[in-house]
Amino acid sequence: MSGLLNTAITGIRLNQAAMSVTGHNIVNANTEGYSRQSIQQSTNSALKTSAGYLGTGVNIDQIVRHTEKYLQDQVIRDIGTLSEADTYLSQVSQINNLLASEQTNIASYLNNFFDAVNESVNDPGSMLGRELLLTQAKQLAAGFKAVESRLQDQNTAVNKQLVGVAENITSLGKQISELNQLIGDAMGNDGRVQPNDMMDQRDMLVRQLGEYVQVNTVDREDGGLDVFIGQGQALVVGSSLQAVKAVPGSTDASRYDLVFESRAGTQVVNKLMTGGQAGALLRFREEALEPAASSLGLLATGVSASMNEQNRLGMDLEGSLGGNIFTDVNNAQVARNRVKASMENQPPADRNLNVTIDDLSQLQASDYELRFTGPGREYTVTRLSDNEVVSQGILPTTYPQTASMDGFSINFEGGSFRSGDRFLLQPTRNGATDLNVQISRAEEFAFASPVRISANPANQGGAQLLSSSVQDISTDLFDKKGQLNPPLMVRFTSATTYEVLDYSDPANPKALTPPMSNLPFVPGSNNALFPSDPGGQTIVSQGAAVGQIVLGSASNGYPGEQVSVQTTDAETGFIREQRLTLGADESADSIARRLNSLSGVNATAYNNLTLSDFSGAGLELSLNGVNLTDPNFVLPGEATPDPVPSPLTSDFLRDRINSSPDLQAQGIYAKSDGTNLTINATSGADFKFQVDGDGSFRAGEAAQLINSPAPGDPALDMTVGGQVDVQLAANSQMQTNQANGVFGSTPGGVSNYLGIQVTMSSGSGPEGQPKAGDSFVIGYNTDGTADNRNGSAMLALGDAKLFADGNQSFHDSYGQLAESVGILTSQARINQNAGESMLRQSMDAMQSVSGVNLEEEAARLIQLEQHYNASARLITLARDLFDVLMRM
Amino acid sequence: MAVRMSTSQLFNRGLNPILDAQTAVSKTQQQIASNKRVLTPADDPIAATRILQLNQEMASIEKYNNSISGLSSRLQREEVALDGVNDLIQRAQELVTQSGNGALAGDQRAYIAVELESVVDAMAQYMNSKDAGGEYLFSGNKGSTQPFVKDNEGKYVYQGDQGQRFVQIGPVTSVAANDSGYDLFVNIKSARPGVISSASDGNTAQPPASISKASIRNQELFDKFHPGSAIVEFRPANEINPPGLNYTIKQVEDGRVLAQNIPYVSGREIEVAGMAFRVDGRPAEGDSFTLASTNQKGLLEGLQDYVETLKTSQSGLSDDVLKAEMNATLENLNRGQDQVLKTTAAIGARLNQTEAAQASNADFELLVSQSLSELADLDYAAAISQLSEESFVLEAAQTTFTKITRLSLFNML
Repeated sequence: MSGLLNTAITGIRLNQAAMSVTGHNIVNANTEGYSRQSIQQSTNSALKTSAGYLGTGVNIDQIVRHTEKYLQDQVIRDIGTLSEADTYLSQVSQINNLLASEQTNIASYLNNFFDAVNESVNDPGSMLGRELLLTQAKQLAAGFKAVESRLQDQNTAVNKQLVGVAENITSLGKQISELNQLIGDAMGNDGRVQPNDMMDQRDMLVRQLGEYVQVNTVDREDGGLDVFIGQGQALVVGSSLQAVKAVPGSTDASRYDLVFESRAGTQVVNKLMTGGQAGALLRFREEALEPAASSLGLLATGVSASMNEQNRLGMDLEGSLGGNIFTDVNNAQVARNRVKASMENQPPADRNLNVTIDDLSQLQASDYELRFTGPGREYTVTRLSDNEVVSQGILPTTYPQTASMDGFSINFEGGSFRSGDRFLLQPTRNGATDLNVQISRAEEFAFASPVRISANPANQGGAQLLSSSVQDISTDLFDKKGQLNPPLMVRFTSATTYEVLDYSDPANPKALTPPMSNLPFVPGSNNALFPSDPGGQTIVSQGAAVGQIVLGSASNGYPGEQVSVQTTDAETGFIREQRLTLGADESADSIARRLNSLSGVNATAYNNLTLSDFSGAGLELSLNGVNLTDPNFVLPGEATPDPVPSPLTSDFLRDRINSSPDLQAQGIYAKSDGTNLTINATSGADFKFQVDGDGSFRAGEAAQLINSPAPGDPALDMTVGGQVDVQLAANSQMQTNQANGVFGSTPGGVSNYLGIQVTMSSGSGPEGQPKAGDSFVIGYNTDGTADNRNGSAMLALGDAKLFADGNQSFHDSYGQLAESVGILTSQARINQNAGESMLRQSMDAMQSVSGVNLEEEAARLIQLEQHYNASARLITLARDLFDVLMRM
Repeated sequence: MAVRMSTSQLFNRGLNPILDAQTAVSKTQQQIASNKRVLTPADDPIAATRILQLNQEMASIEKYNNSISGLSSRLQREEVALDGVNDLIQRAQELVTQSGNGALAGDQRAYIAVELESVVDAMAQYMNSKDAGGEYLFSGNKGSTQPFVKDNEGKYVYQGDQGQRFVQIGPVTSVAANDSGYDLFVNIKSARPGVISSASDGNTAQPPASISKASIRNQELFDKFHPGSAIVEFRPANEINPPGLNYTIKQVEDGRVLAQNIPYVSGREIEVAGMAFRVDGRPAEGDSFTLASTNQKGLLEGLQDYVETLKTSQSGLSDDVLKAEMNATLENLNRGQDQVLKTTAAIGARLNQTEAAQASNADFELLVSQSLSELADLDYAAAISQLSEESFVLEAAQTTFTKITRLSLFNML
């Protein structure tokens, strides 16, 4: 009887407990993280009777929560994935919108700017257009700054969020470790009684942690949970905790790092913290934010550098040479700010270095790390966008030193660089911040070219100016304000030769230093008149033998020598040597021709000699086989021979020389000013005189007295050799083995680069080709207010392929930036959609196991109620049985 | 066994489709409202880049069109000015021809001379025309320098330079926006060689000394000298005795001395190689002046010379000389007219070119805007049918959600 009663009571107890569990389920149906619970029951141990075992009722084994670790893990993982995608998307969308928005679209600022350039260039004298351009230039700079400051704001926001994320990770870790402790205590020794709600709570915390960073968990024997984050870094082991912090970076304080802090020091774990918000923020910063800032900076640097360079080649409305429109990209302050030294570099903080921009087309939108790797001042420079080592070397101990790579140079100015030093180099990052309009007045836009070329109105031939350009104003030519130093005159000496003279004194145009004489001109085609090699040099034949008056010999006295030309390849450093052996008595004409056969060498030859003070009644002269004093010679156009004056006059000799077809064929002509006779040979031919008869004259600059030979003696030979001017390409030098030869032992070159180029052409027929004496004067473009030659070049920059090895214009470059951010954004959208549906699925799967189904609970309630009634009925039955017995 | 479902699952499964449908409806609605298919680069990164490029092309077309309109108005002004010059050339031709009439009395020639003078002034006025922005049309690159200015002697002198400005009106097309007065009115091949006098750029005297226009005094001597040029150099005072400002004249080509150390008197006529001229003012030592013989005779110069001839003819000038002068002047006028007409034709050609460029720009613009529209604009029909489909889905999801969640066993208890 009591057995039955006891059995019934176990049923009642069970049902009460079960109903309370069901009730717990019902009321917690919407509690986040709650796992459905149920009772595990079994039969009580039976009583052994002779008939067998007699059941003693039901026992509550355990209240279990329905959960599956693998489903939990999946949910945690998917929460992480979604939270990462969400965070990434929300960040990258901001840049995406920034680049696309009408207000902040750099492309439209660039368009407005170049529209204004166009307007202005069409009417360069108009102040209205110039003012508009100045405004647009300011707008452009402001536009860049606006976008840049939004990017900076975003960086600040990322930093703040990283701090928040680190705090949350640490605080969640702390709570988990505390719960681990409590759960361990609550489980007791047998480990059979699980504190279900506490475990739910802990699982909730782990899931929350998953939002911030990738999480992996391992169950512990004591019911606790070890938590590993990111790529497996221990956050919670049992009840101990490793704190995570976000701190300003050691090289770049505006870039926060996630670090583990321990007694051993701080360890930067950016690379290890993947997944969740932390992973998203770090990844966003590295693959979207920083590249966007660098690309924007590159673009801004390009605008500034290219426009400045062009403006500096022009002349402004007031006639001054142009200056920088925007702040110079290599301004000392700006160059220094491109370097950030690590705070961990050993003291003293004396390293002095900066970064200057050399070549836009090579410049990349990336940061670089300069690291000193060894005690011998070995260094490497790594491009951070792809972690490629772009330069390696050893820093010499003397300063300054320069290392160039990827379109920029690192300039080491001084300091005790030592192993372990690290520097962050940001060639383009600050470009947008540094883009400031420097000019204050609209007059300073230099749309005009500083040179004016005027054809001499008296020109007879058909030489025509095609184009002129200015490449460099740092040459001496432009070092005087408001004029050329010196003004130049291009003068044709024949249809196929020209010279360039110093025209500062129009009455007496004189040779330039180095000279540009007797240069070849090809009628009928385009001729660039000036040397175009900025590093080019001219070597003038200044050897002892040159131009000497050699008496008593038909040889010019040149001893013959070996000439070698060494050219160093700028990129490889390879030295190429070319040799030439000059013969004794070789004429300048022939020397120049043979030098021209060497590559990178351009030689011209000419010969001049002045004769004066002719005296004596019977002086006889012949030049290169032409008898100049032939009494029977009839000048062209005359009927009778002109009388040979006594003594000879320079005018007479001039006319004789200029009327000899033989001498003309050798390029020899003469000038006379009444007293001095100047004989020129444009070919560089030797002058071979024979002096006879009776008399004397003076020759050469030193006015050496030449007497005719004594009567009866053979005619006196007098020979004068010509000059050779040699133009060498950049990085070349010339050596000879003769100290007293044509060039001297160590011929020193003088730069021949003027920084301007003038292209001319002419007709090729006898009418169209240039005539000797035709000239063009190149002077400063004073009052050239309506000139737009330089402005047109500025305008062309708007479409010029300045970037990426000459493949991208401003718009291409901006387009690429917008496109790459667009791709990242659209990818993030896809990831977010995928993450959402994956989380839905895994939540669904988990809910299917752990979630409360109210219908189920309702049904269970009905079931339990019935069960309870039945158990209660057992008690009444026992009482009835007892009553029956009592009534007996 | 059926998969177990929890209540929250049931709710979520009902709710999620509603949220998804809402997102889709909202996006389609936004597209319809903005008439843009690609709202940000992320919507279609490739198309977005292409759109950026096309917008850029549109912008440059607009830029070219702006240039074209400015250019056309400038060229039209030039055309008007040249028409004016041409009319005056015709008037001058009439007058010059009239003046050759042997029956004319001296004072009648003087009247003609006076009228010719006013023709010259009117011509100069046309040649000094400005564009809408106040820039001189015919002064080359010296836009703010009046091109034709009367010197002390009342002769028109060209002050501009030989520059020509180009305006870009298409990706590879540039068109000249002006013609220098030098090319138009000065550099005209003369019937007879003449001489141009000019002060050197490097002269230092303050105020600068000036050289007058040189006239040919002795044609025979000058013909011998031509095509030579001479330079007048002012020499140090101590080269003559008594010391004083003096000059030497040399031939430029071969340095031959034409006159040596002549004492200088301001304004006194100097004659050398058939050329007569004067230097006025006080030149500094080292200052120089060139006399370049030339084959050119400017339009105004030719007429002014003839006016001078007409004036001198009153005081006696043989009919033959006058006739020769008249013929030379008419010849010069014809050549000047040729030059003006040729340039007018060239301007017409340039205007045609700008019109053609404008038309091709318009075609191109249409093309670009079409592709832009294809890329960026919304297909309304598709979008609206999509919207109605999406709102249908939304309604259905809402209806089923309310229906299903209303069922509960607890209602039966």
